[in-house]
Amino acid sequence: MDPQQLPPGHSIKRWLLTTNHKDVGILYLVTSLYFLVLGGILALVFRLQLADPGLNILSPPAFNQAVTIHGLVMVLFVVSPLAFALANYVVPLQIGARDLAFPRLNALSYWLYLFGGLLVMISFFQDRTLDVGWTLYQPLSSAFSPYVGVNTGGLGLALLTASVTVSTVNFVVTIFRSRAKGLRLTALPMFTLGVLLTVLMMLYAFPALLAGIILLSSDRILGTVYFTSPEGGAILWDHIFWFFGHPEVYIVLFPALGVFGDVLVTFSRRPLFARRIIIAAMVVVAALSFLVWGHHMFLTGMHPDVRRAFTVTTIAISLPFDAIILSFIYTLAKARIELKTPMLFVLGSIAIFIIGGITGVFLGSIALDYVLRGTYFVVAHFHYTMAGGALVGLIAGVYYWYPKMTGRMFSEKLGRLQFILTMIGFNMLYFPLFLSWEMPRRVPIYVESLMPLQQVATIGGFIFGVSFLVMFWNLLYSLRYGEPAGNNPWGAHTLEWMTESPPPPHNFDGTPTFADGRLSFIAANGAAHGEPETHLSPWPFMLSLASFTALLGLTTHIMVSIVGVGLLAFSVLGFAGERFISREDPLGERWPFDRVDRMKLAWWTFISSEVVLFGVVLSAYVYVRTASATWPAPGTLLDIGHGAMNTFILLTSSLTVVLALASARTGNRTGTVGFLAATLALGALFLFNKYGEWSELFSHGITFSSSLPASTFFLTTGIHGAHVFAGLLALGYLLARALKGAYLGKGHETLEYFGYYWHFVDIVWVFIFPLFYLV
Amino acid sequence: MGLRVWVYLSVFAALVLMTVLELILFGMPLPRLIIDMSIVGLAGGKALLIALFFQHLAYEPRSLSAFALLGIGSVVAFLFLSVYSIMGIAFR
Amino acid sequence: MVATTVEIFMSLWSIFSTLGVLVGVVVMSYMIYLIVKNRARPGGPEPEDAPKPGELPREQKGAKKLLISVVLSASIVLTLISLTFIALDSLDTPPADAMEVKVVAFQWGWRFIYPNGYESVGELRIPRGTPVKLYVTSQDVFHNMGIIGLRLKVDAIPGKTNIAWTRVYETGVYDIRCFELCGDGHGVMIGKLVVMDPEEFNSWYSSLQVS
Ligand code: HEM
Ligand SMILES: [Cu+2]
Ligand SMILES: [Cu+2]
Repeated sequence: MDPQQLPPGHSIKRWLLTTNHKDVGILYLVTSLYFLVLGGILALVFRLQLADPGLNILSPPAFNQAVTIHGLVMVLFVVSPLAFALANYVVPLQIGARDLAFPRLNALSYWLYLFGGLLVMISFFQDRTLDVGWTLYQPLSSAFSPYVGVNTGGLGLALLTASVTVSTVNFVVTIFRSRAKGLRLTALPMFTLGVLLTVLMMLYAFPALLAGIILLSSDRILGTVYFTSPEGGAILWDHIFWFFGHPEVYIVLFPALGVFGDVLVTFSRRPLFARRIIIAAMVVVAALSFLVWGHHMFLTGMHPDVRRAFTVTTIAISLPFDAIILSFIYTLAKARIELKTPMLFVLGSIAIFIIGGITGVFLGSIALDYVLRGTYFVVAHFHYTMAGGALVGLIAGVYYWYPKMTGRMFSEKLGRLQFILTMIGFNMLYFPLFLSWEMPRRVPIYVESLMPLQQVATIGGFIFGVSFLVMFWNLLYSLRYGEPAGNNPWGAHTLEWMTESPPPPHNFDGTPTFADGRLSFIAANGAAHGEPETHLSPWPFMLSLASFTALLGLTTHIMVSIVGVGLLAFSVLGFAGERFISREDPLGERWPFDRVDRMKLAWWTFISSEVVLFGVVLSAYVYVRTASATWPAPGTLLDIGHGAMNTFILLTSSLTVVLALASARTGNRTGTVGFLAATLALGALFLFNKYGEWSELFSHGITFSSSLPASTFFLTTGIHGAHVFAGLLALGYLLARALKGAYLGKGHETLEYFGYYWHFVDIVWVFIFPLFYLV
Repeated sequence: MGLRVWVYLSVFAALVLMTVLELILFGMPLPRLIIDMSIVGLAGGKALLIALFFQHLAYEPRSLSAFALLGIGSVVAFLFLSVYSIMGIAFR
Repeated sequence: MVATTVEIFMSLWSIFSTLGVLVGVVVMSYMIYLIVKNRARPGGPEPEDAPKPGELPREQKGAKKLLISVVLSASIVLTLISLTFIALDSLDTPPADAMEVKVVAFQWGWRFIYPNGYESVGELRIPRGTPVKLYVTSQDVFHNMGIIGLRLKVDAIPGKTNIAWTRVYETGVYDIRCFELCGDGHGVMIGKLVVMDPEEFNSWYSSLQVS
């Protein structure tokens, strides 16, 4: 292990190529704070406009764009990435790992996030960026929004969901498989636990967003009619968006809850109150978060049973939250509370969050929702939870771990100053908005009598803004001039403090273990480590740049896309061919996946996200079919013969894949190559057959935009076909390597992993066939 | 190994058979609802077979199957509640 | 009070806000009390169970205390939710003798269609004291119709008709506004509700020329 492998901190090469989790964490931190400034400036601009309805700072379209991008940027590009900045830096340290399970994929997540943000920003310079609200309601953002910038922004979001998926897989595998011996799941520090539950929610929520964006982009670009026809339309989008959206608000919150837990223990010098109940409550919240989305749709006129069910779940979810927050507060009893900056922010954030939580119960009551929906009351509520609870909570985390990241202490005085400004500014900014509970949101025009309230809010906004300037100054100044921090300046008990500040590239000298209930280190045994691990790779950056270029071309010039796709192919090959070494520690706590190796777990995690993606797309089909008064009988629109034939083809190809695997396992090269080639041929045959089917439909004038039956068929089978196509590309690569004798004997796992994907695609078809052709 | 291959082949045979059964059911003079339900049920059975024997979930620790079920569970919740929410509503 | 919907809302709102403020004040005061009481004084002793570096996390026992608090808040929340369901019943069951008006939202305005077929844009007139049932839909995008001051709100969704009703007891003029972002004109999508004396309304209504 050679720590000198990383170039020094001032070289650009280091930051473009690094795959070390601590570096990636810093990149996330800087980038998310940059987006915070961007989203904050937008907010201050429309806050100025809102100070007086007579002002003409923003035209209505400009106002809508500012509000939309502010919301999107804050939720998706600021708060979550800030949480992942901390998670990247801290989680491996807290669990005693040398890095995340897949360092290169981690860097890839970061670059995809950055380039996704760039796409959103570029859309500002096209005709119009997204101006339809961060909730992208339908059919406003499909049929009634012809602007190219909206497409670009949407593609930026797609890139972000890719980034999130990749980091989800990475963190799931890391936290399940790289824990130090003796670190059971329930013994994890609260922050890591919060991150684990966060990524599990992300795993099932973000694919739904991706599905929504795919359907929406297809409506906008290909002309399908999912959201432009009333049978799908507004309500289908609401379901898809909020199935993602509600878990998302907890995704934003949970890392902050984790920060609360760790900081409270450290600065109150006491163990957490009812820690196990807190954990159980968080698990319950995470699970329930997928069953409450309908509270965003109370007035859409949904079935009374369903409305009642959503009311009950919504109210029910407030109880575990009670348990969590009350336990945090009870922790303070008989404590010795040190009111250092991180603790101040945590306490302030909890206080703010309590107000957000109580007003949330108001919104959960349908009868009150009849009045509060769409008003500034809602704006106030979600800022109390997301800005006050999550963002301010994460700021506490930034201060808490700053000494670890930099080796220096920040200025306590400036920290307190920021805290005071934050509390005053925040409450001046948002409390008046509760009182504006009859004023529609996203509207610059309101009645005179509200002006005093709105002006207080604007002043508060600027104070809140200034508080962040104080923070930036503090963080930058202390980087140079802060007192040296030492390993454990706060006297904390968790593992990240048991190494140098900042930690060496490999984090710990020796392997940390809790095998006998207390921390000890197993001395590093040089010989056992073999080849040094890699910490640099150009491919994450290249892959992201390529995807960015390919997507940008879709809304600018097709040549750009072509270059992008070329670059993408090049980078994929580069990525796949690179020798990148990152080893898993053989010792470690892995329950419940002790006997599932890390690649296997990674693949199954990825497949889970695909399950949700296709699940939502197929559900959308069932949904619009249920909503439609008429639907063509089986055999009239689609030819059953085509479908049946393709079913047999795909089933056979699944057989050839497992046979290739069986041959590889026994070292039979001919069999491996032969069966892989057969699979490739069958896959190609499937696509060829599909092509025939599509062109026959086109020749009868049935296209994407003909009707819902046509749209759903083309898009669902199109997404599936794209998966088959991707599989074929992978097969080509596997075949080429198999010809050179790869995968025989020990290497056969690769074929097993490929099989997971291929069989999954087969399973999807197993459902598509009856649902579209027979039923 | 010989055993594995034998399993693969018989699972494949079952999959083909079940597909043929779907096609036969499709043409039967039975109430539409029963036909539809059995066809979708058969599809579920096929998916299960593939997952258990081609993706080897049958040979993996139970925890992995439980993990896979979480995703399916969330999809089922989405499907059920979203479709239920528009039962009996006429659009247009 | 001005209208049925206002009565329903205010009765709930006063309970929610009283309890909300109460709970908020109690919890926060308790928290501040703990912080002030237990803040570290120089030289003070560490608590006995203070976490030590390198230790696995422990916990303070307290399931009982927590259980009591959660049961307490559960009972508050359950009360609130039952009240909600009761209120919802009346919101969901318009009286049979209501005057029925169709509302079509569009980018960016409101069209009202009266029972006799008369259509008007921007202004809805209704008689005082008679229940009014609104059949609300949209001809283009998702809007939301809210009548400020009457505590009435309903989604206007293309392809779907939603129902809302109220009975207004006083004559007057109210703003109708859109509460769902619907494009550039969202902010100026303002209509008027005019509540008229029943006799005046009748003479106006019967004088209408319906083509
Ligand atoms: C400088 C700090 C901030 C200010 C002054 C501010 C102000 C506002 C205001 C006034 C609105 C409502 C606009 C309208 O409906 O007309 C709004 C919307 C929103 N804000 Fe903030 N906010 C700030 C920080 C944040 C943070 C940190 C978050 C992140 C979690 C956030 C998330 C949102 C979201 C999601 C919306 C909704 C956007 C939409 O309606 O489409 N804001 N903000
Ligand atoms: Cu929600
Ligand atoms: Cu509107």
